[in-house]
Amino acid sequence: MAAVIVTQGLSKSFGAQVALSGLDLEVQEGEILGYLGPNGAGKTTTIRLLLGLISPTAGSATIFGLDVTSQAPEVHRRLAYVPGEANLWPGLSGAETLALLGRVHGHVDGAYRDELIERFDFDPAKKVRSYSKGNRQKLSLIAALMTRAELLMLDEPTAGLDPLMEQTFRECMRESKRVGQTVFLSSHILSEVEALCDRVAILRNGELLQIGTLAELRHLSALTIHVTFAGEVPDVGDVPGVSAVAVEGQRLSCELTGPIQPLLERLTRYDVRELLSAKPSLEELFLSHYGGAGGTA
Amino acid sequence: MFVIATVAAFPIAFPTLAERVKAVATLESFAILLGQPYHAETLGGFTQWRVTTAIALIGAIWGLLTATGLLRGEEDAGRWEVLLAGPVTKARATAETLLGLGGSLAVMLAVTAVGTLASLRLPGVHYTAPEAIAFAATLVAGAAMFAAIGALVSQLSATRGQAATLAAGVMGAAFLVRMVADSKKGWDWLLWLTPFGWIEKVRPLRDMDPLAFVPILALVAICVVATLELAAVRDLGASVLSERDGSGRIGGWVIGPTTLALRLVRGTSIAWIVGIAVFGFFTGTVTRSATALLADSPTFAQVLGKLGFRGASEAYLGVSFFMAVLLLAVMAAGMMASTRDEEASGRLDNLIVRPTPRILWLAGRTAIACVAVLLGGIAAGIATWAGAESQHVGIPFEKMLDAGVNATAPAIFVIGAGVLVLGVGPRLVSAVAYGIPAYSFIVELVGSLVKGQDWIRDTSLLHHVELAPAVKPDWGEDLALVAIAAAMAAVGAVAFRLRDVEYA
Ligand SMILES: Nc1ncnc2c1ncn2[C@@H]1O[C@H](COP(=O)(O)OP(=O)(O)O)[C@@H](O)[C@H]1O
Ligand SMILES: [Mg+2]
Repeated sequence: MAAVIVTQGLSKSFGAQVALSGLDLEVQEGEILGYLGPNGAGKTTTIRLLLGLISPTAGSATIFGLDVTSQAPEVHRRLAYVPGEANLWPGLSGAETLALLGRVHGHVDGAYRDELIERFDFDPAKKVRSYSKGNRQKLSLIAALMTRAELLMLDEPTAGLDPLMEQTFRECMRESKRVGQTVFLSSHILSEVEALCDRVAILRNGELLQIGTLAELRHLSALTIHVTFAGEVPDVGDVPGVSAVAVEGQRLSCELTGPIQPLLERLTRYDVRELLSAKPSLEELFLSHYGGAGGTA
Repeated sequence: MFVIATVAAFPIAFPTLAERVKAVATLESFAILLGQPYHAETLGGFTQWRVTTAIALIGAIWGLLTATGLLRGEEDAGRWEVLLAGPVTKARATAETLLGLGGSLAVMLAVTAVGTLASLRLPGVHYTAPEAIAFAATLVAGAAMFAAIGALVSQLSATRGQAATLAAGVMGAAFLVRMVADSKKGWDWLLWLTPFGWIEKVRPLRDMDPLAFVPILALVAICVVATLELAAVRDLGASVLSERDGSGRIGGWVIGPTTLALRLVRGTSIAWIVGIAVFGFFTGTVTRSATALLADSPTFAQVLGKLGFRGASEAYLGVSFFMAVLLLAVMAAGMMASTRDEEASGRLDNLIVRPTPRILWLAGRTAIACVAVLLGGIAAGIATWAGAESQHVGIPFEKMLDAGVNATAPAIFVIGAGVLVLGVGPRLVSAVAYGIPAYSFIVELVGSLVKGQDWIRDTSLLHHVELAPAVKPDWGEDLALVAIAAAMAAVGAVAFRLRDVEYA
């Protein structure tokens, strides 16, 4: 497998504000890379650098072996981009927008486009100004997917989509993977990345904290467990898979990876009044593993 | 400031009463542009004549742009959706915006009143403090009325562009009616039909007619009430004048960055060109009546000779072409502002990642702006000629066409400057592009009163274009402007290609 995106010490500062510092990253052909980080982590900055919309203050990046700044047009021909916010021309209709963006890009799979319009339940006859945020996002997604480009650069693409459409989006991503497209998917939603991605890169305050497969980053799929006891609070630190134990009065919190059975067996010996389990949010994850959520929330 | 400058300059420019009476005769030729002078041989009369219409016009443009921008632009950009998600209703948001506008106008009135009151201390001033305050109110009236009209059309229109166009149409019509009213003695009853007429009627510094304040206040009140009523009724984003939707079929003529640019500027450009042409036609049709009064006045002939003008009609048309020059420059500024807006809004990203070379996009936008301006100039020339010809003035067609093309040189300069700023300081595009004609206009108005300060006038762009057809166009000077524009555009384009895309 060849690397599609390669960055070397890629950095960007806006005045004194460091938005991205020394990013070294490789994205392999055919994989879906989750680019995970809280708001303000530098995800959009990374994507804009890779698209040549802004130039790095240090370092460099290539896509398909081509320099992203000096050879931007060649790179652009082979990728499709969905911005975090769909800024389109309010006076054009959805259909006109698709026609325009298709013609400018050069290659469109017409049958797939019509299928996408159907599946996203999108009405292309209306003016862009009358679309809700979700509908604009759909339009932006359809415009990118219909090109069947080799590389998809998606900046928080599900923002504004309702749960049903989010499901449709996930199906589309799985199909993209099946036909061998490479996907760079930025997100601040852990569950989305977990459901779709082969590998995950974790970013905070412009720095890459970790990168690996979901199996390697097992803490990403941890459960947070809260138990309130009527009487004695047990020590569960030695139970397999349990970590980050904290006790506060009658209340015990911990994180769990792997099977839940061993922990349940231990708990049933005590007088449990309440038991809650939840997926940790990205913020909680950062709090427990990386020392503070960082970023600008 | 303008008021004080005028008041101070008046005695210097025309020291004796005899000369003042002579000057009044020449002033008559500007009546159509600025209104009938009323007792202009007195300081008060001259000042109110000289200042009122120009300020009313500038105020009106400010008022309608601000009102439509605040009420419609924000909504179009979706910023109100955030606001209205909270416990704020549409009517409340609109009322608050109107309140803010009212506040700005009150501040403007206060500042202007301080200025007019200060002018009381100047030598030779005979008007009283209440008159000075009434004068300040007259000067702010244009901004107030057209802010109110802008607010009302914002509720009626589907988009900001539509609102601004509609409001500009109302303003153009109002100004034309005023021009017609002032073009013939005996037609001045027409002044009661137009907001600009009411402003002219007040005459605060000489024989004030307070009755003229009544329609001004009534118009503002009616517009405000209607705006609030409509805002309460109207759904977010919807409007009384709806906009037709396209079909769902994928196709159409918008297929690339340049066709897109054409589509985006089409409406505004047509509105501008038609507006300029209508203006030209009217100034053309009143040429005869404007100059008839003066044809056999020896003073006037003498003044014309001194200025190197070719004849009464040409002199009058040259002065009115000054307006066309200004309008074209403002049109060019608008084109550059909307070019920057494509980038600032993030819409440009859609094109350059697909991939449209940045230079190609910029070249398309710039070329379209130049062509639109040129069409505007040609339209002004032809329409003015047609208007003049309908009255058998007998000015050759080529001369008017030349005048029209000549009038575009400053606009082309504004486009070049706009591209330069887009490249090196994108956030300043609007300020610089609109700033150039605004600054030049003020310098021309003030500069004509201040003698011996030629270097100030030299900084005005409008000073570097001849008042054709009154005098022959100086094509060399025009070409120099275009060459400077091209050089600025080249530097701007290179800088734009290399810099980061910047949002608002
Ligand atoms: N044009 C800019 N000027 C100044 N600061 C910026 C600019 N763009 C981004 N930043 C800053 O860089 C940091 C990273 O932003 P961004 O890449 O948008 O984060 P994310 O997409 O992960 O939410 C933020 O602190 C943001 O404020
Ligand atoms: Mg972002």
